[in-house]
Amino acid sequence: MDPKAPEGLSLKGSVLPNITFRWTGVNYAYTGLEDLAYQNYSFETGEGELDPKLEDALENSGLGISKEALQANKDLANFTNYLELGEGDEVKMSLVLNKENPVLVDRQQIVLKEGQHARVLVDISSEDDVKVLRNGTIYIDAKEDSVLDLVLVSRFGKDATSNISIVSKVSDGAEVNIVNAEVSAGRVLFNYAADLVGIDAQTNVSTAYIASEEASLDLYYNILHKGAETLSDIQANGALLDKAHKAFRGTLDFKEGSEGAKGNEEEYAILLSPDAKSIAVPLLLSHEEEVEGNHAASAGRIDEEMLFYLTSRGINRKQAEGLIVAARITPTLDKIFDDELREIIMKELEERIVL
Amino acid sequence: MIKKNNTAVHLSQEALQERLKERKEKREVSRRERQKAREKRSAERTEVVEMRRGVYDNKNKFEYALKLEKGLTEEIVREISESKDEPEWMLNKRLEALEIFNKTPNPSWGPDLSAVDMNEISTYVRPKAQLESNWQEVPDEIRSTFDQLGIPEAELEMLSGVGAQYDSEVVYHNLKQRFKDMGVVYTDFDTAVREYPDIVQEYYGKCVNPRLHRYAALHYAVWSGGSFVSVPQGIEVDFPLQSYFRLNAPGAGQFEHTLIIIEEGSSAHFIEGCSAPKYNTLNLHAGAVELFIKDDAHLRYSTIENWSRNMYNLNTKRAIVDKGGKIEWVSGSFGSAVSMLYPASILRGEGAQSEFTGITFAGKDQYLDTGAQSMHLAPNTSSSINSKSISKSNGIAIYRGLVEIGPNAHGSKSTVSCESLMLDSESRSDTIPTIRISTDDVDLGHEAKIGRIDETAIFYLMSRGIPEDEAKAMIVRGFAEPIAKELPMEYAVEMNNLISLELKGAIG
Repeated sequence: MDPKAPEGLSLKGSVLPNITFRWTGVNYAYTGLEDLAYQNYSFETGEGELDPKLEDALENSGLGISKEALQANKDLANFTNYLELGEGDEVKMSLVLNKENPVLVDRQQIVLKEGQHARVLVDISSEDDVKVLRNGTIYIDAKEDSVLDLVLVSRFGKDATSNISIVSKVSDGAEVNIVNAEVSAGRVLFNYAADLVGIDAQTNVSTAYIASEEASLDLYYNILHKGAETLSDIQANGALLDKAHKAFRGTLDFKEGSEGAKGNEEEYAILLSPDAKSIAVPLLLSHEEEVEGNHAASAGRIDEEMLFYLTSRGINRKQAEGLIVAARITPTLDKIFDDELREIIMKELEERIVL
Repeated sequence: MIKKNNTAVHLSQEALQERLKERKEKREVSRRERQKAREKRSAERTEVVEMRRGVYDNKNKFEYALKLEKGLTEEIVREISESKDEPEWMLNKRLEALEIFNKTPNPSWGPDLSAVDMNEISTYVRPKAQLESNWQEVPDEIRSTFDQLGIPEAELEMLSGVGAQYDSEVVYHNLKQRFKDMGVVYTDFDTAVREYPDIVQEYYGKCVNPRLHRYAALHYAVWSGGSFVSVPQGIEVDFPLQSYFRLNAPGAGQFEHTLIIIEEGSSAHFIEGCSAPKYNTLNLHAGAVELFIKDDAHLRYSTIENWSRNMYNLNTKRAIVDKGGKIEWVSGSFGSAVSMLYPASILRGEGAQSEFTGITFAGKDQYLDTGAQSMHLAPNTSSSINSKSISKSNGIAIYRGLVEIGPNAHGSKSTVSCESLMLDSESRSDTIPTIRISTDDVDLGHEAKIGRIDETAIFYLMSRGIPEDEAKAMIVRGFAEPIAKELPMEYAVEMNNLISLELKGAIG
C-alpha cells in the first residue's frame, strides 16, 4: 500500500532507479509543482540562446525529477541562460524570489570547452513569508578534459517549493564538481544525475544542509558509471531542526563496461530535534566486477561527550551544538567562492541553531 | 543578476593542445590494455554447464495419496481444510486470506514474479504416509532420501528433536523425552491446531499478517504442515531443535507454517533446513515463520536454504521481541531460481535486541533478493545486520534491507554492514537499504561495499605455492567465514562444499 501523501500533493518525482518496499514511502518524492499555478512572470533573462541539441539531450536522457517537471520547465521557462565557458571563466548569479517575482522557471545550459576550467555560482533565495515556486533545470556538457565547479546555494523560506534537475554529461577525462548548500525551510527537491560516459570521467558532490521548521528536503543523486575508470564521490552533511524532514537518496550505478570505476557515497545527519525525520537510501548497483563501490550512512544526536567537553570550557549548549554542526559543514562551505555568501550562510546557521 | 569575470592565468594555445594530446594518448594506451585483460579473463573462464548437486538432486518415485486439481479456488481451500479436520475458525481464516490473495497484486519492485502461475501449481500434495513416531516405520523411499541428507544421524548425535517435512505433511516427528517432561512442546503444526487450539488461536497470524503481501495471503489460504514450538517459562533448551523441509513432487508448492513461542526467561535454538530436488516445472515455496520472544527470552533461528534452481522462494519470516528479549537470525541462501526473503525483527519491548547474519550465493540464472528488516518501536532497543553476498555467471544477488527507528525508540542503536563480492562482470550485485529515523536520540551506522577479489591477495597465496583456483576458493571461503561459524557444524560443512562446488572452474 502506498503511504499517505502530504495534503494536497499528488505529483511524484525523483523516482529511485531501483525501487523498494512500497510502504516505506522512499521510492519517490512529492514535487509540489501543482501547488501554484504557473503564471507568466518575467525574470531578467540570462545570456545567449539555448542550444536545441542540448535541450533534446536533456529530454532524451530519461533523467531529472520527472517528465512532467521537465516539460513544464521547457514550456514555461521565464529565465533562460546559455553559458559557454573557457579557461578561468567565473560566473556568479544571484536570483531572488519575492512578491513581484514569485515564480522562477529557470532553464540553463553550461558547456565547457575541451581542456578548460571554469566555475559557476548560482545563489537562489526567497523571502520568508512569500509563497514562491521554482522549477529549474541545468544541463551540463563537460567536454574532454574540462573541469567545471558548480556551486549551488539555496536559501528558501518556509512557503517555498523548489525543484531543480541537474543533468551532466561528462566526457573523457572531464570532471564536474557540484557544491550544494541548502539552508531551507520549505519543500526542496534537489536532483542531480551524472552521466559519466567518458573514460576517466569524474564527478564529485559535496552537500551541506540545515533544514528547519517544516522543511522537506529531498536530496537525490544518481551517478551512472558508464566509462572505464570513472570516479564519483558524494559527501552529504547536515543538521535537522524542528519538524524538518530530510531524505538522502543516492545511487551509484556501475554499468557494464565501467571497469576500474570507483564510487563512494557518505551521509551524516545530525538530529537536533526529536520531531525531525531522517531517511537514507544509499543504493549501490553493480553490473561490473572490476569496480569498487562504498557507501556509509550514519545518523544521530551530537555526541554527549563532545558537548560536555565544550560546555566545560564555558560555551553554552546551544553554541556548542552550533560549533559542532559548523565543523561538519565547513568543508563544503569552504568551496563556495564568495566570501560574502559564506558569511551569510554561517550567520543563518547561527540564527537557526544557536539563537 | 549575473556577474561574469575571468580569473585565468592563460596557458598558451600550444601548451594547452600539447597537454590535451598527452592525456588522450595515455587514455588510448590504458584502453587497449584493459581490452586485452578483459579478453584474457573471458578466455580463461570456463563455463559450468550444469551443476550436479549430489544427493540434493535425487528424485524419488513417489505415490501420492491425494493430488488436487491445479489452480486455486475456494473449493480447493475448503478441501484442504476438510481433509485436515480443521476447526471452523481456521477455515474462515483460510477463506479470508484467499480473498486478500485475489485482491493483492504482485509487488511493484524486485524480481519478476509473473512466471508464478497459480494454475500451474497444485497447492497441496499429501504423501501416502501417515504421521509416524518411529523412524523405522517411515516408508523406505522417504527414509532413504532423508538418510542421504543425513537427518537421522544428526538426531542421533546431537539434536533434541527432528521434524522432517516431506512435501506438505510431516511424516516423522520426535522429541526427546527429557524435553517433553519439561513441558516443551515440539510438534507439527497440523497437530498443534488440533491439540493446542487455544495457544494457536491466540498467536496464529498475529506476527505475519495475511495483508502483508500477496504470498503471505496465499500462505494463509493454503498452509499445510510446519512446526510448532512452545517453550514454557524459565526453560533452557540446550540442544537445537531441527526441522528439515524438502519438496519432492513436481509442480507442488510448499506452504508450511512455523510458530514458535519462547516464554519469559527461556531460550532455544531452532534450525530449519530446506532443499529440494530439481524438476523442470515451476515450484513455489511460500511459508510463514512467526516467532514470539517474550521478556528476557532468547531464540536463535538458523536456516540454510538450498532449494533447487527452479524454485520461487517467497517466504515470510517475522519475530516479535518483548522487553529484554533477543532474536538471532542466521541465514544462508544458496538455492532457488528467485528468492525474496527479508526476515523482520519487530523490537517492541524496551531493551529488545536483534542480530542478523546472512549470506547469499547467486549462481547461474539465480535472482536472490534477500536482506533483513529491523523495526525499533521501543526505547533502548538494538539491532545489527551483517550481510554478505556472492554473485557469479549472470547470477543476481541483491541486499534489500530496512532499519526503522520509531518516534518512541530513543536510545536505540543499529548497525548495518553489507558486503558484496562479484566473481565476473556478467553477474549483478545491488545494495538497496532503507533507513528511516523518527527520533533524535539514536546511534545508527550503515556501511556497504561492492567489489571483486583482491588481486594482491591471490598473488600472495600463489607465491606461497597455492594454485590459483584454490587461492580464489580460499578467499571466497574466507569471505563467508563469519557466517559459516554461526552455522551448526553440519550446515557449515554443507555450505563450504556448496561454495567449492560452485567455484570449480567458474572463476578465471
